[in-house]
Amino acid sequence: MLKYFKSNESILFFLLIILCIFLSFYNPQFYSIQNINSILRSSSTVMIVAFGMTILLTSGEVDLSVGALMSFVTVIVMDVINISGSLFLGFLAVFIFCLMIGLINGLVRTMLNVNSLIATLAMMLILQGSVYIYSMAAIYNTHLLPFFTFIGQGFVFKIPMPVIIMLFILPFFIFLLNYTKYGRYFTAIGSNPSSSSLSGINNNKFKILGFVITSLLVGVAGIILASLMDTGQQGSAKGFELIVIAAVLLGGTSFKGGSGTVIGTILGILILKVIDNGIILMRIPQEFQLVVPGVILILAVYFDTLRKEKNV
Amino acid sequence: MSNKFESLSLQNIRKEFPGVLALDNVSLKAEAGKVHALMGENGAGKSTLIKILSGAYTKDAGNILFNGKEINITSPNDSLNYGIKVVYQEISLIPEFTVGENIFLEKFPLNRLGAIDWKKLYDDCEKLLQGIGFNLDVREKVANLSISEQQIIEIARAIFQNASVVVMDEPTSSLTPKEIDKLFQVIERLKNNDISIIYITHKIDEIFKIASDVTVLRDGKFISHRNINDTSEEILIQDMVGRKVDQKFERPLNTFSEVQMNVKNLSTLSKLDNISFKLHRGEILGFFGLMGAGRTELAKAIFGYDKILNGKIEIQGNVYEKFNTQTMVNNGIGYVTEDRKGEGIINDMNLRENMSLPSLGLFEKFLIINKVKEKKLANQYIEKFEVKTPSSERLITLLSGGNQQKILLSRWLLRELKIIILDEPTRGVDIGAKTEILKLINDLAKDGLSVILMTSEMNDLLSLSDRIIVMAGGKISKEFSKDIATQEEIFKAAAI
Amino acid sequence: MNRLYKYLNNGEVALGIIFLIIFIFFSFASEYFFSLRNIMNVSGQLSIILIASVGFAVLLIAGEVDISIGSLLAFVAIPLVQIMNHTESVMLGIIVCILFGAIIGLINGFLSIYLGISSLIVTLGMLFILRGAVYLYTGQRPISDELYSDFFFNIGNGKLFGTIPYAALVGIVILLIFIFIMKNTSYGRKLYAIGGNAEVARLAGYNIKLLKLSAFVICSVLSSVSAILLASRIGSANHVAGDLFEFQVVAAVVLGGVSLAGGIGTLTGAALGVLILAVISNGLGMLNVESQWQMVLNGIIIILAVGFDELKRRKN
Repeated sequence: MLKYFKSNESILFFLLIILCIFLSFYNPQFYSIQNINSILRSSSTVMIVAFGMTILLTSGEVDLSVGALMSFVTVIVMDVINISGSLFLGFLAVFIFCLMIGLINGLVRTMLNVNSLIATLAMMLILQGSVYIYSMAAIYNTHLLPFFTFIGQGFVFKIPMPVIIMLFILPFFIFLLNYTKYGRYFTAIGSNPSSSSLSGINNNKFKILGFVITSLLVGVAGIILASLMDTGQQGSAKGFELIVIAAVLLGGTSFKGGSGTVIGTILGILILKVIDNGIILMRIPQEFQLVVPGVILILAVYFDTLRKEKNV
Repeated sequence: MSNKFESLSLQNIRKEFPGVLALDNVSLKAEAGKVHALMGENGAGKSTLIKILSGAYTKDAGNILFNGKEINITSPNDSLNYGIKVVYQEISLIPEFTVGENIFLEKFPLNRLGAIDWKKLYDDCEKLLQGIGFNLDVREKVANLSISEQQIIEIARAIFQNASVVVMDEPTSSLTPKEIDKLFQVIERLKNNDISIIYITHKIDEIFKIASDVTVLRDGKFISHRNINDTSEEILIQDMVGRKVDQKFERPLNTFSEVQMNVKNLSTLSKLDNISFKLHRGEILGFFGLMGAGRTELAKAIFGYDKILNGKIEIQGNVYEKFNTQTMVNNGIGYVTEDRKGEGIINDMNLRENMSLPSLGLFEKFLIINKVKEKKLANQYIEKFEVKTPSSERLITLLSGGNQQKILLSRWLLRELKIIILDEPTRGVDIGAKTEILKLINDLAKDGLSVILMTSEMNDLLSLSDRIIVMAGGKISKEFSKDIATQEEIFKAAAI
Repeated sequence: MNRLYKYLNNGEVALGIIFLIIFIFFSFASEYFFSLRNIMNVSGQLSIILIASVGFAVLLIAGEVDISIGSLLAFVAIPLVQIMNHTESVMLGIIVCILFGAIIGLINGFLSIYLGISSLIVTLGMLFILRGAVYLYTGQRPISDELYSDFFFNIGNGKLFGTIPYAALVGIVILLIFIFIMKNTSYGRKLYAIGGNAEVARLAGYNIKLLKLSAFVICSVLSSVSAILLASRIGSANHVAGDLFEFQVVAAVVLGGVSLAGGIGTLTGAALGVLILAVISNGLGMLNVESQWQMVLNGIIIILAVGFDELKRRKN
């Protein structure tokens, strides 16, 4: 029982509860269905990408290009659907593009052996530049397909659609990380790459897989974002990568690879988003929303360093 | 350092690492103008002792006396201040720096403006190198020099200023005979300057040329200190490897017929040079070699972890020229590393997960790992090898070295295995677990498993191996069959 | 012959040749490119990147990295302009600005070295913290220089004899000073040594932590100097100043042959990297190529330069 309370997830859970109680005392509006829905809706895109990032960080890698890719996706999906009038073609274009970017990230990491922080930082730069080459102006929704709007803005049984999409993807990743051999492989690769390679695991193959999965999830999140904004905008997800990474690290996934849980990640995101929400509810200047993930990022990695030192 | 250097004594030094007692009550006295040889097998504790002297490690107990007065060495700076200079076996130079810069790394000569006085630096450097009889371009980048030239720079660097004790760790391992002669001249010159030298080597003949005293360590313990005139090659080898083989394992004397693996002309970029051998079914093939002989490199090359330059491996009719670890694992080969912490255990996993890592396919049904089945098998092996743990769900880092090693062995044994490569399987393992592991190896071979046993423990090697291959400098230097192998012969073959 | 090959194989010479080729190419491609006015203009603009790149290269050589310099550029400009506006003293503004830079360098260094957090993460966090702080303080509006001091205006805009920008002079002086320090002082060589092999440096008795900390401070302080030049050019502390600046610097320095692994590369190389990128962007601008291509180019250069560096190291 004591062990349970000491686990990382339960600490995060209590932290979340305390934050919620505090905020609801401060402003009862916190508990309005509307507010909770908005927290959940904005959390869900982060969560979807964070599932991939959890895998990547667990295997000792990171992808900083997710924000730039997501902005690009909003532009592509809107543009292709506008031109073709077909949702299917729009989605297909997005996923082919994301697949390609994920592959490039993975190959640069494994074949050229470029540190993934640098490789994906460069990819972020490339994407941020090329999205403007693709289109200088934001792309507005001229196809007016109702289902497209429904993806980001709709409700099913009063639950926002993005949340439902997230819940649809979630079990797959819990399953992948906890019940299949792939989850073990990712952990082994991140924790001790020599050892995993000496156990007959092809590290590079799984690292590339991690990058591809993450990029594809960015595709999903990007489509949702495009639907929410009803536009494709070049800088729409700027800084998104930091929120995702800060949340995943806060959720207990180690920056040095080897340990990560999907539940921890979800709790990390909820905490960040509730803080964001609190900043608005408490009428603190919104610019703090930039500072918070920066501070949390440093703190989370620091605690992780401490934890690792203790375990040695 | 105003006082003239007379002697440096290490008294009853003790150093413990988690799970291993690296040095137990070791003493040594280095006197001015004398060469004190330090000998012992790999893992005897020589390196640890040096690192304590150089301030890289701190001792757990014991005293260090400088001219009879106790001193404290807690950092490399302390050690340098007393003039203790270490020439490490692995090159410790900055490759991008020139010869001169490396030699003057500790203290660059400055001009009046506080900038580096390059002219003085290179002039002094040239003088220094010529003074000890070596001719090198002092402005050349170290990265462009050969290993033996780098070794010379290391030595020059250690002695260029106010050295009182120079520690040399296997300084001749990569030198040509001519260079060795020059080194010995340098040592003579140092002796005349009342500098003390602690000289570590495996090459016994060298000791008789230059040393006045010999201290032998074994398993972290002080074994003997002898005057060079009171000893002989035979005595030293006995001191190093222990007097007799403690334990004999019963090995069937049958000749092995079925070839399990055939390694042909294997070479790698870094070390291995044209290695060929055959491994039979049920055979234990021992590999011996001193530090740097290339055993671990061979193990990793065979297992597909390191890229091979050329050569091929034949396993039961299949010939492989390009392969990775996956190929080898699928062919029923397993590898237990010598570097348990760095390449063996996975810290973030428990015993069960560590054990099943290469064999998850065994427990898979519709993509799902059957944890119940996995746990059952893990527990079976925990029981079989008497691993001391409350459960299979314990983190592997919480176990002792010996128990971790049993888990790593189980990692391979729970799958269908034809060949196992064991690199120093008993290193850092306590005596009890050691005996169990050796017995286990013997039993496995009896059941038809082929074993490649790489060990520095002469006793284990002689008692278990059916054949012994001795390596030196990346090559096979000699092969012994069980009946003709002796400690002395093996040692001689290794120290070429 | 052998000697010629060795000379050509030297990274800086190769970079110099690349620079010349690009320079000649644009001179033919655009009639405006090869004019004294354009060249002087470019040299004034690029010195902002050059100065920060010098600091960044020093830090990389010591084996650490700081990607918060873009945000720092915006951040330290605030005390500069505010103090000038309120005290009417340009010198005081500059001193406080540089002091702020030094403190941020100390914080980055402390978190990375003494708490053991990877410097990439620390400075990634710092990148957002500083930018957030800038937004908070300015309310996302530029703070204008209301002192209108000639001296301050001239730092970024003035020209010696009406031709050579002061900014370029500042850049060249700083570059030369640091080339000297890195090449000819024991401090500079120690930074190379700790970046090249920290263990060897430790055994040689160096105080690695202190040396690394000083490199962080140098990087931040030089970025603050860049911030002063930039603030003078645009006449304000702008909340979006320095956005993506860090990437331009990384691309230039890495292109200049400074290794991300530490210990390898020269400031001359880094300066050539800055020069090449500046000429390309200026030239492309003259040819009416969209500036976004520049970003893409920078990204590709980073990957190729680092990848090439890795391959070279693996070969050895």
